[in-house]
Amino acid sequence: MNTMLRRFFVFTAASLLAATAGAHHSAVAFDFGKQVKYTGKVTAFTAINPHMKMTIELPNADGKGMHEVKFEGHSVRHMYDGGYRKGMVKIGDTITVNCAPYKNGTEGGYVVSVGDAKGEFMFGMRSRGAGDDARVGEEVRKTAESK
Amino acid sequence: MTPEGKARVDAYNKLTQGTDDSPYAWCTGLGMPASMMGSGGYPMEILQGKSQMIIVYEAMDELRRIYFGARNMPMADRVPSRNGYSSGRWEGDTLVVETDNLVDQVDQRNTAHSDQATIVERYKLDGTDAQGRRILAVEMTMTDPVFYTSPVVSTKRWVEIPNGHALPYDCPETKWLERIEEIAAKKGVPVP
Repeated sequence: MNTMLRRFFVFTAASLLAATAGAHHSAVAFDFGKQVKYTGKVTAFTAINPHMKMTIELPNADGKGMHEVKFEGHSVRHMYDGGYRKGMVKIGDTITVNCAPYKNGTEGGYVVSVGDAKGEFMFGMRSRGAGDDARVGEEVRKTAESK
Repeated sequence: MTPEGKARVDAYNKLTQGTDDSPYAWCTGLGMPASMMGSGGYPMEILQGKSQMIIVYEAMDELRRIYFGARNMPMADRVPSRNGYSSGRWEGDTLVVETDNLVDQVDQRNTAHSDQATIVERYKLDGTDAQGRRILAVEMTMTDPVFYTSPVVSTKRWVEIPNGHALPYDCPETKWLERIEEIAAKKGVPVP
């Protein structure tokens, strides 16, 4: 077998319109017209494909005890393009999750961006360093809905 | 589409409607031509050798091998798959890739096809963008007498990422981790 490779190139789609993919799963459960912020302590966080996963702990409505709220988001590629780097979020950290909420009112949602305890932007989904949640949210919606 | 093709696509859509199920949801590669035409904004990497070219689509870690000249396998030895068997040749500065031995893929979202489908791709570098990055253009023609009454033609353009890197995808990992959690829960023990 000829394993001698002479050249390599990496290309990305020049137009997202030409790059619509099959779905990991449907994004119709989420309302990308809204954004909701939750601030809580991280109990689980995985940068994984096809969807990142995250759980934070929030106080119960009656003020007694805590409960966990789950989130999901784009792929590892979108996280890294959005500014995420390994170790940025650790179990026990207090973070702010900006998400497109579930349409049915379930707590949690589809992650648009993540900030620190004060809400200062840490990473989004695709737009590296972007602090403009409205714009990042629109990009996330387009990508999610194209799937 | 032919009546048969339309009936099969309609039946597939009816079957999966209202579910989250799709090849992607089960970490199955998109298959040609969807793997090439729709990689969800993920990059592709091209490794170019004398007798073989390898294209890696980051999404789903899909991989295509394109053989040239004597490296090609005899038709009888080719194994049908979602990305099929691809042979390439150069026509001047145009790379022509012919793909056969595709399996039936009624589950492709916009390019469902039968196992009789064949695909011809014509790749050419097409200038640069405003930032001076090279643009790669392709015209894809899929012929499938079972699903389509005439050839399906599509085009796509990519821009080169200088010193770019494809990332690992490892799609099945999520379902494996979920399975381990499930086993641990059934046995009433923590995940090691």
